[in-house]
Amino acid sequence: MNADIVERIETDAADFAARHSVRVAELLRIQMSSAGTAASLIDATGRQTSEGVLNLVNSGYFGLSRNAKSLAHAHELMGGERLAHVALAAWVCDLLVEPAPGYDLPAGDLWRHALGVSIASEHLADTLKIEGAKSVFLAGIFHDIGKRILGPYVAKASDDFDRQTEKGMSFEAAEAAVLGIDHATLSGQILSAWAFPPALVDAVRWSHAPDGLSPPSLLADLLHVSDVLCLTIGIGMGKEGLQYKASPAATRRLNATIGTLELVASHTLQWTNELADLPVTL
Amino acid sequence: MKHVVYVGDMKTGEREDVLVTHALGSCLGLMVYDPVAQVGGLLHAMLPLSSINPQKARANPFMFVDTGVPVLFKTLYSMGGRKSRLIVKAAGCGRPLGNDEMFKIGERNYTVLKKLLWKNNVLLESQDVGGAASRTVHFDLSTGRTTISSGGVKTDI
Repeated sequence: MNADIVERIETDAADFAARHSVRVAELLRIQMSSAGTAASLIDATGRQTSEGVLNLVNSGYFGLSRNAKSLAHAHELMGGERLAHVALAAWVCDLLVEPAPGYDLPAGDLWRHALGVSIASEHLADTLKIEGAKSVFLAGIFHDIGKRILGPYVAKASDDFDRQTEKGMSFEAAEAAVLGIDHATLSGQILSAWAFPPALVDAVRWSHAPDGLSPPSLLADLLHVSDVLCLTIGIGMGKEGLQYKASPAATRRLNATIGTLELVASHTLQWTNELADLPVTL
Repeated sequence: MKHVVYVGDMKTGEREDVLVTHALGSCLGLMVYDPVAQVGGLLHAMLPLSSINPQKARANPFMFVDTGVPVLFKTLYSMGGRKSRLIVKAAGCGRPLGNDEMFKIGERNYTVLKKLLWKNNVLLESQDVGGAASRTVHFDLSTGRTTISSGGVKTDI
């Protein structure tokens, strides 16, 4: 029953990835570029992108010692890798601010949720002194990109979804049962097509079921726990948030306590609100 | 006039105002109303105790139950509300993601609220708390009517 639908969905995802692949590749190049090249790469996406990136860069969240006056100056202050991640966030904002049909997420909520998971993941990694998690901000921003593709299919099959979730099935399991593929898998396929680092792709792919990765990935655990935390406190809850299965093992692997989670939650709400209110829509 | 109360926020109003808050999962929605003065307020608090982050609590007391609730009551007193007349209702404090101990923020929010009210001799008139549902609250300050919408069903509390 699912073979045709899965093929159509995967084709949609491949088309989507191909449509944006040049732009993403250019923005990823910023990581290894000089300040001048980085500025040119961002400028090439349009004046609004440059302004959006500067708005994000100069927000309190990124904690720069001085306001960046230009993109080249931002590169100097925060480095190419961080600037690339911010530029990719500013770029993808346009795709995430739209309402997500099927998930009951009104305009802006998918973007807020992406920001929330990124911010919570970074704070969690910082609070728990987890090293090697520099890409977690980027992973958080893109972890639900698959919803852009799957949303219309979910909306069309909403009765089937209601039947599955009423039986206690998680929303992600219902996606697999009804459509033959879930949005985390699609997110992973899209990021893989864009040549994101394999560890980041795996973390996103397994962010809903981090216990399935062997060996476990701290990046996947960070994403999972942050996702759960954001849904718990109502950042982008939607329909999925009521049918999400949290992994207690992921929280244990991170050595997170209730206090840690609540501390991270308190930071996350404030910064999410501040960043979500910035004019970065392109 | 309709006012939307976001997470970690509180709004007060009078007479013709309607206070609305959406997506109450584990967060506490607290509605307080004085039917004589016709003033009321709605708090949407996210976390139980401010001790977890005192700096944030100073900047925004409405993020936490233990700091947000007193500010809500005091604001209503300053608007003419009297403690003896206040009608207090609660919503939310749910478990949107099941029974994982680590994420029982909703239950802890409710526990802190009950302790706070008990210490101050305030009773809850009614409540719609717990469970896995997401709730929206409409709080009409002309009558004090409090309507909870959840899963397509509307209920007055």
